[in-house]
Amino acid sequence: MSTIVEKLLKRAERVTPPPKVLSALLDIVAEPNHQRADVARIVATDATLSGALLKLANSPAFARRSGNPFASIDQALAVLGEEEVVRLALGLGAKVMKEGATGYGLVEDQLWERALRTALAAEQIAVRADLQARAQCYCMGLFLDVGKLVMSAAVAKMHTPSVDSTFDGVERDRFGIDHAELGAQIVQRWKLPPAVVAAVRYHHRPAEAPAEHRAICFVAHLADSLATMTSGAAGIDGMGYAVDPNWVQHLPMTSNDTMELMFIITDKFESAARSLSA
Amino acid sequence: MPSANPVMRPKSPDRTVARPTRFVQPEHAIGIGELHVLVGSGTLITFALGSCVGICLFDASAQVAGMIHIMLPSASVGGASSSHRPHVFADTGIAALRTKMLAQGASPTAIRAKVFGGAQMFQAGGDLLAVGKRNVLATRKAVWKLKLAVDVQDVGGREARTLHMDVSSGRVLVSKPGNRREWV
Repeated sequence: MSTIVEKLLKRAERVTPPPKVLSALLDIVAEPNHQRADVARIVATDATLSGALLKLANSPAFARRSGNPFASIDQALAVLGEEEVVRLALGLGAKVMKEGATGYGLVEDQLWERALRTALAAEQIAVRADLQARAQCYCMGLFLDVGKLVMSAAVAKMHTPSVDSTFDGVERDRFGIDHAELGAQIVQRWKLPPAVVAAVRYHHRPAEAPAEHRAICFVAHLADSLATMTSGAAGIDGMGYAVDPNWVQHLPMTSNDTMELMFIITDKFESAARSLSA
Repeated sequence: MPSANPVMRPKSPDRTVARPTRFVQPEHAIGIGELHVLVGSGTLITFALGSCVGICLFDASAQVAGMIHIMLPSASVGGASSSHRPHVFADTGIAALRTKMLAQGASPTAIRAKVFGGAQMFQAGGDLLAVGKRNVLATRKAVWKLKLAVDVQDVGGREARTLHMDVSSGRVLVSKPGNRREWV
């Protein structure tokens, strides 16, 4: 293993992990026969998430017009629904993406904004493709580029590659590893579900993913592309990736579907950003 | 957005900033699905046009300038929600920009157009993600329907474009990766 790879992997170990409750939450909502009480029990193990959940349930957007405020997690879950709770947990967990990746030209909150667009895109694609693992899709969307947090400083010193090479290919040539692999190492360390790890690892090369995770990797691949197309902040690398033309065999869609998805992502982005920043 | 020197985007919802001295002109940054019109002087800016298209309209005699950053070709793809965001689409957005310019004193026969963007964002990808090409075609159609003369077209390719439009002259500074800049 080269010294550069070793240094990058070492740095990857220092990326702030999301709360431990997140992986347990993702696992339980992926269970087809889970109950609300199962989710409530897991939420209750994390004080920050429990507090945020009750705060949201009692916010003007959800609160009852009369009566006492919600005091139990079970009540709050009943009001918000488990999808909203998973989003909340992911929002808390993905704050690390707000650190930015200036080496990639993503300043201020642009890495975070891209992550949110990708999560929304992945979730919408999962709905279209009738995939059950929607929470996992949203999660992998948020963390797809977490490797850029680590790679950013090294990329900042790199010359801008020509438009003929793929950016991940240049990363591999230059550093011996790309941001996707670094990201996969990070989310694996966080014990996120194997499908999420695979999606992060193969989001630029979905055809190389193991068969059992290939579908979600193609969701990640398309979500990443749609997020780039709907964002004013694609970074220096946004247009530097190849899209596998076979994605359409895994996710049957028309050109109208992809454009409609672009509109939906744009439409949902502002309200999602508001609710996650609250 | 392969710009080597990314520029911070203003965060304020009202992005027209009249600076305190009379020598500095107002600037307005236009995001995706937004439009703006300025009269007399100032700069209209839009960042990182990838597959999106930026349309700059100008009436030289009235010194009315407008810019829009569209993302999709037709409002038909957005269904019922499209009406909330008409400026996202070429077919509804460009007409809205022209209407706003007319309200600010532009003459319908004097407005001329410059069109930028519509890049192919990814290598390969297939026709289903060729939104840039569709945006350019829809823009041409909308411009033709509105009888707007086109002076400049810098469209397609695989590079992002950032635009600065000088309102007093109607000239547009097009910036591309590698610090390449050109006034058109």
